[in-house]
Amino acid sequence: VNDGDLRWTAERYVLGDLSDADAERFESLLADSQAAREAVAEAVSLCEMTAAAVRTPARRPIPAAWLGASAACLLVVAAVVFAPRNTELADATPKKAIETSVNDEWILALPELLEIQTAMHQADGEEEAGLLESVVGVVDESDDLPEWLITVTGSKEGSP
Amino acid sequence: VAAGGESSELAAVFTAIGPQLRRFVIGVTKDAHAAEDAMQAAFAKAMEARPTGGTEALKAWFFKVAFHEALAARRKTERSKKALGDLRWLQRAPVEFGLEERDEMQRVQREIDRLPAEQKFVLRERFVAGKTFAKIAEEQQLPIGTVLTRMRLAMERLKSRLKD
Repeated sequence: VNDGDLRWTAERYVLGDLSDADAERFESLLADSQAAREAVAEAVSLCEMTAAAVRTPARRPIPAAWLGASAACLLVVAAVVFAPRNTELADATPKKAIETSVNDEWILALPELLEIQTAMHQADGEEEAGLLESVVGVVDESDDLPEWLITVTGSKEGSP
Repeated sequence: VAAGGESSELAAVFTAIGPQLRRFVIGVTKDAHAAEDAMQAAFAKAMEARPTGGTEALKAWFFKVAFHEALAARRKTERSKKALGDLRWLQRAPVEFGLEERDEMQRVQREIDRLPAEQKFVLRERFVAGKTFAKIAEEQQLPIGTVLTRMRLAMERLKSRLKD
């Protein structure tokens, strides 16, 4: 009996597929042949493995599309988990800005300062206007010929 | 093999060959409990007879004695010849397999996927549906030799994959 035939006979013996006569003949061989006994042990191992494997679907590699979908799901979950923190940050930003402006109080007082400055300008303007007016008044008055000059001129022009 | 072996040496050989011996015995009894009984009886006989010799001689001695014990245990369980074709005794759940065996099983699964459809069909019909080759041949209206050849080719391919 060659190795291949011995293994196949051992497998059929293990699976109970030998005829009664063939099974008895094989068991006579088992009584004397260690190779036949080891072939039975090997057949049991293979049949157990095959029986389990054939009943359990093989694990297939995960398609790339599924990996992409899983990654997208993870991103969504991450966004949901971290969203409250972002809101806090978003809320915190104007609060911080307000705090900063409160510290810089001069900015809040700016309109008041501008008002004061404008008033000062107005006062200065009036003062300057007064001075100018006095100067201009002199000038204006100079525009009008003084009476003594008119008299002199008139007399000169009016003289024969 | 002469009598007079040290019990510790016998125990060491028995432990080393235990898994292979158990598979052989269960192949004869087709019953896990009967196989355990036969294993225990074989070890008890070894303690009594104290065989000596090299590892290979002791291994052959254990297998021979266990074979006779397995036949006796099978007779006790009164399994009929027809019931021997029932493969429920083979069906260990995948969780019962060790880590190495699971790796082997996955290799076998991948190889089964690559088998020609007609060979895969015979495997499923025999191992899952529990049909005999004669029944498969009858249902598929094929000569039994064709069904047996498909099974043999499938098993040879799976075996070669396991050896790789």
